[in-house]
Amino acid sequence: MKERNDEMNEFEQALTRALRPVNPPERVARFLALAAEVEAERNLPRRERAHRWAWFVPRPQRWAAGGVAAALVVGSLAGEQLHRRHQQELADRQFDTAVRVTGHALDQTRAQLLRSGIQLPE
Amino acid sequence: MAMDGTEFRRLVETHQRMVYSLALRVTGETGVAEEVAQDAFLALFRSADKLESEDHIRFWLRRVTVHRATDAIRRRSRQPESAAEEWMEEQHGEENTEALNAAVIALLEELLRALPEAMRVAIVLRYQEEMSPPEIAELLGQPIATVKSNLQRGLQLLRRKAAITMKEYVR
Repeated sequence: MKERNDEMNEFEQALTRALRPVNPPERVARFLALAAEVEAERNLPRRERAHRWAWFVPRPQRWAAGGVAAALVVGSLAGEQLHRRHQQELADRQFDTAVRVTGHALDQTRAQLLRSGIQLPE
Repeated sequence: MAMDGTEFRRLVETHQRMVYSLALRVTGETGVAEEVAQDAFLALFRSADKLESEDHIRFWLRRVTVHRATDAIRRRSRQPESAAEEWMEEQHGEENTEALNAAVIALLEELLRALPEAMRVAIVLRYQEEMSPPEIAELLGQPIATVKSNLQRGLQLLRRKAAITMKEYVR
């Protein structure tokens, strides 16, 4: 700097002094600190920005988990269908039994009435 | 060079005087200079991967700051002299003026603002940043002859204008 000053004339030296670097207002550094935080957050991979809890599982296992979930849904629907069919069959059997019991009772009643000389219509 | 918050704060701390002062002297407006400085540092944050060393970062910051500052004054297409009073109020309360008459500094700053942009940029890089003409040429992507010409003509203009009011500083 001294050598350069020797080479410079008085006017240039005055210019150098006039152009000394100055500090920016405090708000510049404050803004930059804040902006850096925002920028760093923006630069994070998406999975680290939001729903972090859902992205801890590695990608292949995420696919497996998705498959299991889908299987559970399909299985649940199929189970529901089976249950309904089973219920229907059970109801049908109960109805048949009821009809048979009723028919048997009716036959007995008819036989008793016939013994008493009363003829029921068919 | 990887960039995290701590590293970024360190770089801001290290270079903010240079970046802000460059922006201020090229634009002549404190508000615009702040915006330019902020833009330059944010651009640094985003480009950190491409920067390999402290020297590279300093060079890069100087170049980006000068480009953004000149872009800013072109967008505003106004002469920066109008902000002279604002600038003087902010800067001359500082202690670095004790060795030189504050009025002389103020006058030089004001004369500098009145220079054409290319000359002003060359003068600021030469006398604020103490860069050599080849370094300025590399930074601005200009031939050395152009830089030397801008420096010479800029100094002549400054001297001529200064001679009117401050003859004691001019040989």
